[in-house]
Amino acid sequence: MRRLLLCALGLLLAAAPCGAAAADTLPPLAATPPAIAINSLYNGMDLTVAGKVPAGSQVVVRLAGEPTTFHMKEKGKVFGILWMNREKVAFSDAPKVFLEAASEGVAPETAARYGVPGLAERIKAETSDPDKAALVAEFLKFQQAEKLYRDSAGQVTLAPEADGQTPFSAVLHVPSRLSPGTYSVEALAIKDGAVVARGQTAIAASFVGAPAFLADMAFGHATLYGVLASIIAILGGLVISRIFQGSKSGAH
Amino acid sequence: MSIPMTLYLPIAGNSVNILAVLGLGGGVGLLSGIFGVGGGFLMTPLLMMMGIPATVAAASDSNQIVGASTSGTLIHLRLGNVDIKMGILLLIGGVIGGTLGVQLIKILRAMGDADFCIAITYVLMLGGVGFYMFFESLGSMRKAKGKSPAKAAPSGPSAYARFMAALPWQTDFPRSGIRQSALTPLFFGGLVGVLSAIMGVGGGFIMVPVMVYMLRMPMHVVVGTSLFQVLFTCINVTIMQASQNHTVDFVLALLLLLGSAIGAQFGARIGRRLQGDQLKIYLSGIVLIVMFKMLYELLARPNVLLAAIGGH
Repeated sequence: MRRLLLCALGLLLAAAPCGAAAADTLPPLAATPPAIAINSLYNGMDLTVAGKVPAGSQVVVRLAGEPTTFHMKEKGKVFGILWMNREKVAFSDAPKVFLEAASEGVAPETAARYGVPGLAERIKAETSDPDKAALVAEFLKFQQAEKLYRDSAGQVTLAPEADGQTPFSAVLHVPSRLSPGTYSVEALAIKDGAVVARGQTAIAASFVGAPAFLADMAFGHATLYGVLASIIAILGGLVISRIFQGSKSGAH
Repeated sequence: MSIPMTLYLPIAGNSVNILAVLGLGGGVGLLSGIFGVGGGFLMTPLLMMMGIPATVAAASDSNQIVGASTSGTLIHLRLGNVDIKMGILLLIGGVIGGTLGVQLIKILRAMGDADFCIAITYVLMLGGVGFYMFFESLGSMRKAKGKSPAKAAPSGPSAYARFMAALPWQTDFPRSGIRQSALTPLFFGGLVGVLSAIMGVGGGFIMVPVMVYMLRMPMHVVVGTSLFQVLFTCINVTIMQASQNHTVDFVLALLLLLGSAIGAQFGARIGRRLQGDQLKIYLSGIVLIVMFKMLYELLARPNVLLAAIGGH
């Protein structure tokens, strides 16, 4: 299953614009930490990706979540004055999360091509509205406002060349809004605005500790969870009311 | 070694600042205690600003209201401000109305432009209720002070009172000090149930004016009875949302509850010091603010021309 997911993620990233036809494969990438543990104290994290690119290359590093279909509503004017939610629209093949960081020497237009604006080429809008491109642009804006898609989401540092290769280290700021799943991490070696080599690895994010227990209850035993949530809330209210009654004893 | 101030919420799928959530709960709980409204119309958008998805914000808020209204109801019960008989009748009406409302919204959606009808109804109703309450309480406050008697508009035609008196099943509501047909709270409870199901709100701030102006209950009993009713409505919503949509974040609810239950206790005490007319005028202010906010959202061009389904 995980292998399948990895293949899908690989295809997804490969489907993003890659400029030149064939690109070499980079030496294996090292991601630190190798997995993301979402515990109660998780509040976003820095993911370090290290690797080597051919000498003279610049580097773009991307992290992408699993491709998902987002169901949304398009806003439009009713009677020419009131903004309302109108047509339903589904955006398919869109990653749950997308982060990009580029080394300093990458031209802005190149960074954009492999970054959030470049996603427009593969995300499909399913709607009756003929202007699908405008809708996809709005979707990218929406995801950026939600902080789920980000360009310049970290720094890429290049080390001095050695043996015809340039080591690099990238730090990506992974957002606090993260759900469990497999995330693909990809490094692109860029020369003259084109990809000359690429490397890829995957990183798994999973709930541990209290979040794992709560998610299991909420999804696996939903009705019981709802009943317990209500009972605990009532008890909480009773306790607080009791405390206040105690502090006011003799007031009336 | 610093104390962590953030907490990851697995259902909301994001981490939040604990102090911010406690503060938010406290502020909204204060309003809830003073006016007997759930405060969902304030809490949901503020939680969304903290990065909580709209559906999770609304459902978890219902869960915390269960706790806050337990605490609020108890204090009002001790103060003798809960008309249980009236509350139960309103509740029965509310459940029937809520079920009808869910069916009605399906029909409206099938006809198209349901969102438009809902938003317009909402703005008109809030505007109507807000302005009416505001001017009515202003009038009676002036009268009480002995200033220009502002010729208070007859608050409810006598034909209404005659009609009410003619209805069958007249019964006493000693706590409210009124005598009415049992059909009246059933009918109005049902009406609010329909409206709140359509609009996706708890209905507290529709129910309070209904109790004051339609059922003619004294303001202080209105607040306690409303909280009593809100408690049961929100238990129902919490269990439904948890079992069907998996949108209740219990940890978020508990944090909000801690803040709001304490806020509600202070709120109930503040409410007790205020005159009925003062309470009404402040509540009308809040209702009008919400109305203007909705109107603004309808008129101003949104930054992003998309909305997540299940959001506002």
